[in-house]
Amino acid sequence: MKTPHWPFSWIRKVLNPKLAEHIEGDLNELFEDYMAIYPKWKAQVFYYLDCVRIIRPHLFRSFKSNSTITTMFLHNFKLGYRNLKKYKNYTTINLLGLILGLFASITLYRVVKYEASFNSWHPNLDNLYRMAEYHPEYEVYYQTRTPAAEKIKEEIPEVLNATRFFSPTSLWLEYNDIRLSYELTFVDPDFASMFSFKVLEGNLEQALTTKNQLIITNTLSKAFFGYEKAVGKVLRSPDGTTQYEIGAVLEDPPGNSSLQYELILSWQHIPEWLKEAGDWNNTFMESYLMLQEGTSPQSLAQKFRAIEARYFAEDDRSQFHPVPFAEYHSLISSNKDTLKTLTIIALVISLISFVNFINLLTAQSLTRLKEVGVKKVLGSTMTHFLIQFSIETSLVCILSGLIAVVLSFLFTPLINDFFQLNLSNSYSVFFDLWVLTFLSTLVVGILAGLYPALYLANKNIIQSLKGDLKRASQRQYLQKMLIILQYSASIVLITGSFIIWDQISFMKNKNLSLDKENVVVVELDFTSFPDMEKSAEKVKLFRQLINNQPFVHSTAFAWNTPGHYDYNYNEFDDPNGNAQKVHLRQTTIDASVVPTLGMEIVHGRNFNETIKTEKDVVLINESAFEAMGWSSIENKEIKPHGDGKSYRVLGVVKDFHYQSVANEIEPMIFWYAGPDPVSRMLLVKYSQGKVEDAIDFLKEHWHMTGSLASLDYFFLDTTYDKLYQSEEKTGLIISSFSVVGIFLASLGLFALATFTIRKRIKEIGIRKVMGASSIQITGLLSRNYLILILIAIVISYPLLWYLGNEYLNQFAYRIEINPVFMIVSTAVVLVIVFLSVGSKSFKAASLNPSISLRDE
Amino acid sequence: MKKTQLGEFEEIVLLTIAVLQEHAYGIGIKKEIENRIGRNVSIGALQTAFKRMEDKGFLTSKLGEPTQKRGGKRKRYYTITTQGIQTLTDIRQIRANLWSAIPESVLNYKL
Repeated sequence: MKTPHWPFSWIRKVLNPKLAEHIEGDLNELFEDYMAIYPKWKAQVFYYLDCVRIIRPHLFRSFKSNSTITTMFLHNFKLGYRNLKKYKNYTTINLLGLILGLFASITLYRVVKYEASFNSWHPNLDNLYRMAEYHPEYEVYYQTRTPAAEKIKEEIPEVLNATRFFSPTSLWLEYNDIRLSYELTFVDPDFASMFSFKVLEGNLEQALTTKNQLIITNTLSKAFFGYEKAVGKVLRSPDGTTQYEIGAVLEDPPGNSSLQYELILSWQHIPEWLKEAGDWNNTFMESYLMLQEGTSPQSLAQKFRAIEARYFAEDDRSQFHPVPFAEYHSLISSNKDTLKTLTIIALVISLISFVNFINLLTAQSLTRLKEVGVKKVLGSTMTHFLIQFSIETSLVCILSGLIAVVLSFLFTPLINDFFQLNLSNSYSVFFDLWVLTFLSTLVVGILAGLYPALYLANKNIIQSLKGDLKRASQRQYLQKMLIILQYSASIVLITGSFIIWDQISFMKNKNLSLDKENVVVVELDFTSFPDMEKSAEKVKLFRQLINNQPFVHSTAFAWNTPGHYDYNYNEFDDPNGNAQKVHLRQTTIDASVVPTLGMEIVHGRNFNETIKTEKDVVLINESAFEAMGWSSIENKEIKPHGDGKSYRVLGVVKDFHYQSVANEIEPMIFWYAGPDPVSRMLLVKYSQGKVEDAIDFLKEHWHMTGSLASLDYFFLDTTYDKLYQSEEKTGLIISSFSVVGIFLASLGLFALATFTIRKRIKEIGIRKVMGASSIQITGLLSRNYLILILIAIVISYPLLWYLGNEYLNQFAYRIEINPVFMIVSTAVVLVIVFLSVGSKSFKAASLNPSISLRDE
Repeated sequence: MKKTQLGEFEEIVLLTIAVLQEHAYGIGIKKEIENRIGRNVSIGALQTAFKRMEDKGFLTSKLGEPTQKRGGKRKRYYTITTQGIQTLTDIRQIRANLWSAIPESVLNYKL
């Protein structure tokens, strides 16, 4: 009877050979029994099932390899593991250091990858450019003029597509009972073909060419429509005047997209003011170009110049300067500092751990020498040693690599929070990280293992067995160098943190020439007011009401507050003098701003609300006063370059810090909001200690303004504090890692010292017998290390001076490096070394000589 | 009381092997158990039981003559060892002790 053998032949491979035969026979017998009763197909099915039932672990063959080579190789792992356990302290120190160093490096890698991934998915990326302008004095400015993109596309055939991307305001929209506000972006129709964002519903191209068709994001769609389809539904403006039909739904812009949007409307919907302001003289438009494949922007230089000549003002020296979109993010990214900090940390920690590694290894070599000697006698070859040591070191390296990756995964939310990034936890990211870490730790481990192998295995067998090391001095020289390196790095880190903290506290406490305390600022978003005129009156009444409260010192209107000034500049001339095209930053304030914020007038006077006819007047700050080359304010006027109208300069405000103290104070001009003002920000200065009263009052009466939005306010002093957040973060990181660094270095030194002292225990015993005191011996033992530390300190000072000044020079207002810092960090290091090495030495020195001199 | 090392299934298999004497081989044992007990026995479970009990020393086995019927594959015959018999006897003793300790009233449960 034919049996279907093939299922069994697979199973035979895993079965214990002793059982295979009779089991096969049994299965065949069963099969024939089945055939007698059932049709063939059913019998076969039962046969298959029987075969499956045979698969049971007890019946498997032994999978152990019998080959000697494999056995020996695997034995190495056992050995390696045992060795690591034997020298637990060393292993722990190495592990710790490696994990930390790797963790920093891995985070660095992830941040670098993240930054590089910005905008990477657009298929046209290589041909996309951000339109920027270059000015010989003001350098690169990443905006251009409003009509530029269109005109360039018209006149230059190599420019295939162009779009603007402008997000001036938010838009309130209503659907049934839901009323929400989102940021609105205007784009040209070419946006659809230039950039690639996933279209979840609808037709993007069509939506961008049809009037009153709106494009929304996925989140928005969920907010208004839940899980229903959005396309075709209609959203209204709250006052009922406009309606928009949803034309398309796009995916939410990913975290690594430079282009962020919530609502998109095509350019035909732009508001009136933009049609006016968007001329050839104002440079605020974000624009993008797509060039023909293979065209470089340089080749179009002449054509650009032609357009500039035709449309720019006579003396406008700006030039079109397209920046490759692929590079754009790295040029403007605020994460550059993060990268720098992480690189420093990764390098320093890795350096320290690596040094520990080498030092501990060489220290151990004395003990291992005997092991190597014996093995050689038994017939081991150099290859064997190479393999053995490499495996040992690789084990530690790979283990630390794995732990570091896991830690990196676990800490992702913290890292994201701290550095304000958006690193993903997705497995695809982690896969290549695992592979990379595994491979690199493997390679490093193997290489690191080669060193002791080569070093130890070369020794004369007899010498090894005797435990005699002739070239100890050379080895010690290397060790000493490495220790000095470690400690220099640590000192630099510690002093560095002191310097950073000092600079930060200097900046935070510096006199701003401005009173930032006790000021709360209410933001008035004009798009949230249904009727502009009526709202203006309501807001003015609101302000009056607040002003009359006993706990309110004063109120003021301003377009912007210090800390939030726009990048709004213009060029101004002195109509009666020599100054031409002076670059001034602009903002608008009312007459109350100066007294409310405690600004000082050094020449002339402030705006005066009571003079109802006062108009066409401005204030400037001290830097502007100097820039105009004036010595007095008498009869001075100022005129925007290219404009006809002149304005009288009423007074000069003392320079005050309106942004981080790290930045220079630029020359500024302050426009007058008029005697009966209303503006975007309402400043309220409340009396000392009355902050709760003030806030409660605002909350209670906010509805008076008729705004659709809820009360939005912030405190002026917190705004300033926030400016220094990134420096504080840097400071925190460097401080933490300096602690880590010194900790690791000390661990290493401690282990090394322990080892050396153990070696000299007999010597110590003898010295004691000869009459030396514990203290003398301690001094003797510690002396070497102290000398090393002192050398490290001396080396680090000039390095510190250089690095410290480099760092501080980025701040417009900076401290001088206080020598006290160096002294303090030196003291810290000395104390730590003294405690670790000194205590160990003292313990050894206090040992009863009878114990230490005992024959083993 | 000696510690017994047999599970319920293993005990039955061992008993069956003792019953069948020199005819105790894989399929034979399987059929015998199925006839007596009435539940299906899996080949895999059976083979595992054989191996385990042989490792423990309750069975010995030897290969027989090849027959045409099994495609030329030999049968493996199992014989119970003295140790095996001893274990079975011990188990039986334990059971018997327990049974005799049950009071009449519980055994004669009639509603």
